[in-house]
Amino acid sequence: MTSQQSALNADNEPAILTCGLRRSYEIRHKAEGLIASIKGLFKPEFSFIDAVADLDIRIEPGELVGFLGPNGAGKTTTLKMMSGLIAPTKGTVEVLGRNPFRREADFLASISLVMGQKQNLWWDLPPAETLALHREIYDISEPEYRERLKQLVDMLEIGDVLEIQARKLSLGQRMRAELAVALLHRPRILFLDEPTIGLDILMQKKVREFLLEYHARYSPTLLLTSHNMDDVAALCKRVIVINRGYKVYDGNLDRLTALARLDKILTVTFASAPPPGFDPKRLGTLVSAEGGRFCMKIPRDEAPRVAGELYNSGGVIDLTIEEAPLEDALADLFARPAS
Amino acid sequence: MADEVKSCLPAHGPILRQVHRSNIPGSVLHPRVWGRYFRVILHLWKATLIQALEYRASFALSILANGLDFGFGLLQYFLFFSVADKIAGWEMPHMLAFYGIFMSVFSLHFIFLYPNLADMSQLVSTGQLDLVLVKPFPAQLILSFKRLSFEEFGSFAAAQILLFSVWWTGGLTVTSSRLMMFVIAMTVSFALVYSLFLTLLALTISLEKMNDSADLMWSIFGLCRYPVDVFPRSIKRLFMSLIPIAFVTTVPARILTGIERPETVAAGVLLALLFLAFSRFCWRRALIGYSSAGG
Repeated sequence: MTSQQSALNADNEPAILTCGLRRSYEIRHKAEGLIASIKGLFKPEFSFIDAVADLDIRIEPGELVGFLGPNGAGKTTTLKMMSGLIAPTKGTVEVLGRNPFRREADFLASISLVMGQKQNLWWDLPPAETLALHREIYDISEPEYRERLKQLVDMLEIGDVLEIQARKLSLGQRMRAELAVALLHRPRILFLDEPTIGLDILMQKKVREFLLEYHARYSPTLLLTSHNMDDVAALCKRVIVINRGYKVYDGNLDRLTALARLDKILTVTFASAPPPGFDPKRLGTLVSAEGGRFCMKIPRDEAPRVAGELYNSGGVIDLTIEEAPLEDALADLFARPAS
Repeated sequence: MADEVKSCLPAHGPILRQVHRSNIPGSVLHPRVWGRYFRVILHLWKATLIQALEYRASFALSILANGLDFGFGLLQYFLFFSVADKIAGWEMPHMLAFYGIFMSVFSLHFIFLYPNLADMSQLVSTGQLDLVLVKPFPAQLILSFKRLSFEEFGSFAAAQILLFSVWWTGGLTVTSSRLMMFVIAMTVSFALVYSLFLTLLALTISLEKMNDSADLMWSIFGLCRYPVDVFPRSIKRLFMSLIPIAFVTTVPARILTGIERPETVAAGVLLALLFLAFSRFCWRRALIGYSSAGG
């Protein structure tokens, strides 16, 4: 750990602090038809929507926080305000004690923004070229660059793709190369916006493992938005949930699942036909039925009793009980009125 | 909700020790800063060259097309002078020098600025601009010069050969004072072109749905293709003031031919400074108002 990091960790100052953060957008309304379009030229109609509203967040240095919410909840807008891309309409945001929107060079050298759907890599050039450019942009000395690159290449297992044009790489290889570019300057804050989007399960796992290992080594503050609940569950103990711009939850991930009274998914497979009297709809909500295999969503408290009842009915060759997807818990939270 | 952060700390000053103090020097006046800027731009240009070599056939075709364009432009002047001795007071050698200057400015614009302006609307609409703005490097510099269009190097070289040959054949008399004024006038010319470019770059960010800014630049160059003396007096005045296209090509050419006064050059310097300040203002406003695509 460097002396800088020690100083950082010794402080009680938050890495990220927002207070009453709000971002409104002006929306132009366009009615259907040519006449309405012409009318709109002379008398345009606007309304304002709050992408983010009254957001109070405090994140400590080195924390790993999941930032969740449905599409359009305001997650990316918040990340953009924190990274200085867009200015808040109201409220304050401080990242590493700075106003991000001033876009000071030393502040920007301390953060990194990874967006799963946007890329730093040059399409027609190998990642090595993009990495070399970023060495110049972040003014990293040659020996330091070599050392960091070697570490990242080893951790991300991208040694064989550095010399291949980005457009010829698989999505997983590209994302790992993107991460190498984003982390070359060892940012103190890492904003990750859907880093595993579009990746297959194996590659998602690799990216998650890398992020955990990287965090263990360098302890950057990490704010992650993802629709992939496996990402969140694997990486973040703390989650912040926003919906329609408002924060609806900030706390422990386990507590979130408990609060949402998460159901269990019970899958039972019978040797042949189900026993007489077996009615999956009576036991819970039927998710799927295929031959002798039935998948049901059942209340958490009911799971042991239902499992016992099924075993006793005879003919069961397999029975599993799993946690219901976290998306369901979030859907429940989103349905509640905003706090 | 549980664990919610209820309290907000009052806004506090910068916690410098929390910010990763890289080697990046802060002041833009620092020579090392300029060295780094130059290295980054060189790196970007190197990447453009590698990319251009990927599309060799397209590259070769563009060079051919530009060569033909230059040749047809030149042919046009020869046609004019086959039926007249002067055009709006301009004799053939002077008009050829004018064309050489026009092609120099136009090709330099095409080499350094045009591809970046053409790219801008896509950067804005796809949100790729975000990744430029979060870098600790002046976005204006990256977005102005990140790509080169190598195809126009041939036209630039041809323009220099044309200017040299007009001078060699005695069509131009170049004195040291005239040369100095010419250098200043050319700097004014590039400054005006760059200020227009930067204003259009800023407008592309501000208006979001602006795809034709590069075409607009192209159209303005269409006006610079002839000396402003060919236009009526009122339009000429306009081109010497509010829309100062006269300072892009006509004034430098008039200096080379010895018919321009130093006061006009001084007025050009003032106009260039005003236009640069205005374009920088537009640029800053555009970045402040940037709303970023998506999210």
